Amino acid sequence: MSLATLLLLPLAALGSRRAVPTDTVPLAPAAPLRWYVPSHLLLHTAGGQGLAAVGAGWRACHNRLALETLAGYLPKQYSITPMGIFTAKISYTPWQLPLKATAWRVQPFTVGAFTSYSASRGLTTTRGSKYDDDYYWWSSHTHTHRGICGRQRGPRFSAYQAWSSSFSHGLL
Amino acid sequence: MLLTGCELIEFSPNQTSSPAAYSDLTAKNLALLAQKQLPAGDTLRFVFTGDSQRFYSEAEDLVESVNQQPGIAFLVVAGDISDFGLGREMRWVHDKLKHLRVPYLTMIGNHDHAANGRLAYQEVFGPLNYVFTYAGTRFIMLNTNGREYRFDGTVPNISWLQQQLADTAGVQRQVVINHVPPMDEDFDRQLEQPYVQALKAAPRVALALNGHRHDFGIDEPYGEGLTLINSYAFEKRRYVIMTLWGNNQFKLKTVDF
Repeated sequence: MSLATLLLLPLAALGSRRAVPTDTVPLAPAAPLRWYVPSHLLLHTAGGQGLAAVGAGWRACHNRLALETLAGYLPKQYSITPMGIFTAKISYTPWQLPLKATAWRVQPFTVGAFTSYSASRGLTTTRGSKYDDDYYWWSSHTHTHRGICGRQRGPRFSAYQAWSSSFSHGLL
Repeated sequence: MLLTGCELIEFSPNQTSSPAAYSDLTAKNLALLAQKQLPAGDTLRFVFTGDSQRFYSEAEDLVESVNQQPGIAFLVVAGDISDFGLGREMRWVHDKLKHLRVPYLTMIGNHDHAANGRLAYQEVFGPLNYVFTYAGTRFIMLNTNGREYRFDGTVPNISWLQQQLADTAGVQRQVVINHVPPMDEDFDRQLEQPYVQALKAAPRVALALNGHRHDFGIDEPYGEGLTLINSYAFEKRRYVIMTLWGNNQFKLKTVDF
């Protein structure tokens, strides 16, 4: 099964379960959520966050601002050993285009930044016994990125198409 | 569909696979070099530089300058192609150096080992140790980044070096190219003397060329008969044109760009 198919399956499932009348688009849950309950779940690919990643997010400012966390996976074929990529991301989405007759929105443009930690035995550490302090000033496991993406968003779900990002190394 | 055929789609900055146009570059450059062989005995001129890491605008200017130099056979980058050991950095450097009118050859540096950079280097460029012969000169490209192997006594590979030095058939002179110079603290101390003795015992070694220190230097720290030369880094906006003739005669010309 292709990854594209995997992406679409949960969209279709959630979309049908949450179908609403054509003249009604629920913009927010009926009851306010406690602050720690994620406002949406994520399925994500590429953008430096793994072949596939899942996560949870919190929205604010009329759904324009989002804070999200993801756990991604990169198979061995792309490195020496498999990689787990853990990401924290903040993003801003200025426009949300309704999809007619559904609760879904298309967000054609999102700008944001994120930091990720890549866990893998195949990545040698730049902080370790073989180096003096500050031999390498950066960490080989931590990256910070900034970038843009497009995505589809439902009431409780987001699917990213991709992040095209530039990045620098973190210090952690 | 979305995930293939587009280099903008990247699963991790550390993914090591490289597109065909950016893989096996050492073999491709050696094939280009083989197409314009210089007869043994002719004077050989090549550009010696190193440490291209993140100096992309300097790389552009270097290419423009080198392309104006007459009679150059090839260019050598003595290690640290990348800063973070990322394949994409190596591809970005290639995007600059592919505009050279001559082939270029690289040595792996300590920064190219960072993270999973050793595999990325192998994907983009090729072997970590290799040799090629041009104009009667045998170039021995030797990985000397001992610290990256925890000084475990395997790098540099002395027995491999000795084998290459012993192979003198049709070779007028030998030039050894490293990244870390033998007197550097990043060179495996237990292998310093074996390395030096191997080079001093080989009668056709003309020079040992290194990078890593980002600045030019020429010295005989191990006594007469073994000359070490260090390259300018790209950031210095200088490179050296090296001219070799005879058995071990050479001339250096510094070029600003």
